[in-house]
Amino acid sequence: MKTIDVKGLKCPLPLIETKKALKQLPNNEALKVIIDNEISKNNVIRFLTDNGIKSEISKNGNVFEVIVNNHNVDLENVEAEKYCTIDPPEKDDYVILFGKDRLGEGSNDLGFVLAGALLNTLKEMDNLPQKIIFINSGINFVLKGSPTLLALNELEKAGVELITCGTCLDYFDKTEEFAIGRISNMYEILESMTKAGKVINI
Amino acid sequence: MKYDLLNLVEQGGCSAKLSASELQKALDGLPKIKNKNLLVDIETHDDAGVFKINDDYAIIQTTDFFPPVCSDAYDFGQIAAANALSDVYAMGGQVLTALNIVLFPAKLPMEILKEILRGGHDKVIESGGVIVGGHTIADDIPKYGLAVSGWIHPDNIITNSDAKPGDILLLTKPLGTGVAIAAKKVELGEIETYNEAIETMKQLNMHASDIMIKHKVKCATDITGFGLLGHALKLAQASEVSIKIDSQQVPALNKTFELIEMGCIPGAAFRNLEFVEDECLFENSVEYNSKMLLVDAQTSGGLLICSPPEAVETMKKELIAKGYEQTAIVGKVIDKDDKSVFIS
Repeated sequence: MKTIDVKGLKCPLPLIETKKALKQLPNNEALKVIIDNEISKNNVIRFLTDNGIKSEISKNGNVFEVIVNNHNVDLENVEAEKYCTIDPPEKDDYVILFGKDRLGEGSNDLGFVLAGALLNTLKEMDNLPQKIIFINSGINFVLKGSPTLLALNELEKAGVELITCGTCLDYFDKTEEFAIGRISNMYEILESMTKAGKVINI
Repeated sequence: MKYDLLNLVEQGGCSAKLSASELQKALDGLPKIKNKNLLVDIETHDDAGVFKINDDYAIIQTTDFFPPVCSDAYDFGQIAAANALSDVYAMGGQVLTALNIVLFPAKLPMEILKEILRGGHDKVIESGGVIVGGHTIADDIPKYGLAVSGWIHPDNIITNSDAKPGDILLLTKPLGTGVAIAAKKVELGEIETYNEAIETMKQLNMHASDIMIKHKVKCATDITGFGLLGHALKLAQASEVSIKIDSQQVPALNKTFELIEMGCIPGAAFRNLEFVEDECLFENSVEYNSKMLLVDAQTSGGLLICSPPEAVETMKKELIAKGYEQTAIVGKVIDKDDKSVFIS
């Protein structure tokens, strides 16, 4: 990976240096840009996004590292079309595990409503999970007649994978009522969780 | 010793203006002041406020000040003054009086301040107005500008809220001053581009205003910190119309595109883009660099004039003859559509 350090440079030098480095970079090489100014960092990210180049950012104190993994975009011929459409929300590196059909402890009825609200709100988030996994009584969200089907349908359309535990459907004898996503096994469920950057356990 | 004022400007001097969308948050909810004599208020984001004194006189008031945009103190004084005076000209008014607004570090030699004030003074004299005083505060980074009063006949006010579908848009100065200043700050690009930027920023919009008055123009605005698209958007919204801009026709300082291509895009351009993009539709053919030029924050930019179609060619000729050499037809006003500004 090529690294450029633009710490301490006056705006817009960080952007100028980033663009210069990108132009000289072989197609399959990644670029790391080290920036210590938030405004410059935002401008660089905005420029990359505008030109269809994906990037990852990490922050350490006041220093940002912007990593461009795949810059295989012809900077001279970027189509303006891309700026007219809204990009689909980014999926973040996390999965949500529904181990039960409620959110929080106390009242089960309230817990069910809250879990529904969570799914409804989730679809509005900028960073969607890669997968939502339903096990044990969590399967109630993916059965016919569940009030959460509409929200789940939208999440699925936005590219979120919905995975339900087959053993659990069998145990509750609900396989016939299964309504959305796909049925899978413990191997895939475990693999999804171990590979994810973060698992949110409901 | 010769000081380069640009070296005094903070790191990331990505233009000193608050972003329009942030500013809106602060203004929202403030009590609206109504007065029958207040002819133009902040509602339409116009260039200056206009208050009627009697049937023949209305007073125009405006202020603007900012940190150095160039290296030389005398240039800076002239540019800051031309920029502050411009709001009066955008409304079609005459300059009466001006007050100096000065923030200056105690540690710098007073000769620098003297040069800044001399620049401001010269421009106010050129405008036909007088400097009647001012106010000075010690501050680490110098800032200079004016509070200006002008006058206009209440029937002849030129606002940003009177554009009519069919009007043709004239722009009297080239864009790219934001890019040129940023380039100078980091020692990029050619000195000619910077010098051209300095000359255009120093130029008063006075003669352009006279030409507007002569042709009975009703709607115009000056192009400053929010860039061509930001000010065009405000004009479209205030007038309840939409605007078409032909990016190919928009004049730019020499070699501006080369600087943008290098990535020399000041932060203010990104802020302006964020502010306007929801209300703009860019055709596929508009290149990224053109788009960034259209949102480049201008200092002491030109006038964007809504001209009746029959007057546009004569006005253009007169503007060019009066020293606005790069005056161009950059678009037109259309009926209100689903977006405010269409860029091709």
